[in-house]
Amino acid sequence: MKNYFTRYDNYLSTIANIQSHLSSKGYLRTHIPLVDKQSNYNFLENSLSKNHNSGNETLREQYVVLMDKENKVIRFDSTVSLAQLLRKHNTVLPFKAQYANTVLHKRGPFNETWQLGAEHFYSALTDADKAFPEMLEILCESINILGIQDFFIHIGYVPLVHSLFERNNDIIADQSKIYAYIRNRSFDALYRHYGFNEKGISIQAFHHLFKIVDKNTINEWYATLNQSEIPNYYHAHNSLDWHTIEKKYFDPIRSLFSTRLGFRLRLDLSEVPETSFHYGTLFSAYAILGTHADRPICIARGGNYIFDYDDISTSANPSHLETLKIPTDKGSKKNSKENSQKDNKKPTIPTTIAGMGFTLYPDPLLELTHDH
Amino acid sequence: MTTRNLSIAVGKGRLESPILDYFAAKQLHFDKTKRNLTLICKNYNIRMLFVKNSDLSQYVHNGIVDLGIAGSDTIHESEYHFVLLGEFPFGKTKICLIAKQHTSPIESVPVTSIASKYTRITRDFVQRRQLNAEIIPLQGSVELAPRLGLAPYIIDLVDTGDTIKANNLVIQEEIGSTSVQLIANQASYKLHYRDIDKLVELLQL
Repeated sequence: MKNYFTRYDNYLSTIANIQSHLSSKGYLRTHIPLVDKQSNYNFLENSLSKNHNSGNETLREQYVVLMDKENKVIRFDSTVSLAQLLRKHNTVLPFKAQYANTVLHKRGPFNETWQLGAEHFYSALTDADKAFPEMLEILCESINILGIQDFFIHIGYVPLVHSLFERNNDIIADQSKIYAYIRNRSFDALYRHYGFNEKGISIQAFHHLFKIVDKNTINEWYATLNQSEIPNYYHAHNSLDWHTIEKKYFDPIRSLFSTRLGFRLRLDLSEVPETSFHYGTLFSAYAILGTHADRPICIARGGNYIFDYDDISTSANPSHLETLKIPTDKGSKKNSKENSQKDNKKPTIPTTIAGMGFTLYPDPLLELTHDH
Repeated sequence: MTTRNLSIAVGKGRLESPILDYFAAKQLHFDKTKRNLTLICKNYNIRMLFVKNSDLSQYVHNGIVDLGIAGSDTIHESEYHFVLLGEFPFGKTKICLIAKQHTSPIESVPVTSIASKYTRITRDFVQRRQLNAEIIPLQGSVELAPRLGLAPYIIDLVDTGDTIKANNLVIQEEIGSTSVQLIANQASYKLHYRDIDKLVELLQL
C-alpha cells in the first residue's frame, strides 16, 4: 500500500513538473469548474449526435446531477469549460492557458481520468493553425517529462479530407458515414459508398492517399499521388487545379515534416474526427507502455478547433461561472504581464474562439507501471 | 517498434474452426492439438488467443491483443472504435425483427417493446424508425420472449431460421446483416501498421 502511495506521489510530482514547464512557456494555470451546467454541452451533443443514429452521445459519457432548476454535469471536458471562462471574462485573445485536473467519463478504461493540457486561444483559425509547431514542441517535451521517449504523433489534416468530398465548397450531406469509414480506416467501403470508381479514381490511388506516411516516405508518397488520377479528380469535380491544391493542402503538410521534430510525425488522414468544431491540423500521440503488459496507448490528442461563443454559452452570462477565477500563476509573472499588456492594447471582444491545444492522458502511465 | 509478434483474439465457439481453416488455406498453420487458449503460428509471427465472444472487444480495445476476429454485431454493440481491416468470406448472418405469427407490423403499433441481446442495434432501429418502443435487454434464448409474453417483438441474428420456426415465430423484416471482421486496436494499428498491413495482405481480406 505504501508503495502505491509513493508511486502516486511521484506521479503527481511528474504532473507538477509538466505544469511548471508549461508555465515557463507562458501558459497560465487555470481552474476548471468541477460541476457545470448540462446545457453548456448542448453544442457538443449536436455536433456528435448528428453522426450517430441513437443520439444522446454526451449523455452516455456524462455523470449528470439532477437538480430542480437545471441539471448539472460533473466535469468531463476541460477545453470547452476553459473557452467558456474566457467568454465570461471577455478575455482578449490570443491567450495561453493550461489545466491539470481529473474528469469523469462513463466510458473508457478509467472512469476518472487525468487531463493535463495546454491551449493557445485565438480569434482567428489561421492564427491557431500557425501555433502547431510550438504546440508540437511543447507536447513532445511534456511527453518526455512523463518518462516516455519512444512515441509517434499521427497528424490528420481536415481541409485535405474535406476537399475530397466538397463540391463547390459545399460539404456533402452524408458526412456521418464518411467520417465513420475514415475513422475505422474502411477505405474500400468508403470508396464504394461515395462512388469514387465512377469519379475516375482507382482503388489503388484512393488507398495511397490514406496511407500512413512518415518523414522518410512523404516525398515518395507525394510523387506517386501526383502521378495518380487524384489531380484530375480535383480538376473535374471541384474545378480546382492541382497547383492550387498542392499549395493549399500539401505544402503545409510537407513543411511540418521539415521541422526539427519531423521524425516523430506521421501523416494519417484517419485522424480526422467527426466533430464539426475541429478544423485544420489534428493529432494524436501513441506509445507502447507497461512494465509487464506491452500495451499500445494513445497518450495525447490535440489540434485546432473553433467555437462560436453563442454556441458554447447557453446564456450570455452563465451564472455558474460567477464563482470561478483564473488564478495568477506565480511561476510565470513575465508571461502574465505579457498577456495583460496585450489586453490593454486591443480591448476587442471576439465572437468566435479558435484554438490549438493538446490534452495529455497521463493515467496509463500510473496504471501500467503498477506491480502486478 | 519494428517487427512484432502480433496477437489475435478469437471468440470461442462456432467461429473457431472456420477461422483456423481460413488461416490454414493462407498457409498460416497453428498447432491445433494443444488444448490451450493460446495457439502460436508455426510459420508466422502471430499468436491466437481464444476468449469469450462477449469479452473480445474489451481485450482489443484495451490493447491486451493487437487484433480481433469478431462478428460485426459484437463490434457494433461494444460501442468502441476499432480499425476495420477486412471481412472474412464466411459467417454472414441476417439481423431480423421477429414476432409471433399474425402479430401486427411494428410501425402500426403505438407503444410496444422489443427484446434483444443487441441493445445498440435495437436502439438504432427504434431511433431510425421513430418508434415508441421499450428495449428489453436479454442475455440469451431471446426467442422465448414473444412466447412467454415478455415482448411481442425480438431482434436477433438469423442463420438457418430453424430456431425461429421451432418456436412458431416469423421474420417480420430483415433490418441488417452481420459479417466476420478482422479488427485492430486503434493505437496498436498506428504503431504497427506495417506488420498489420502485411498480415492483412497475406490473408487476402
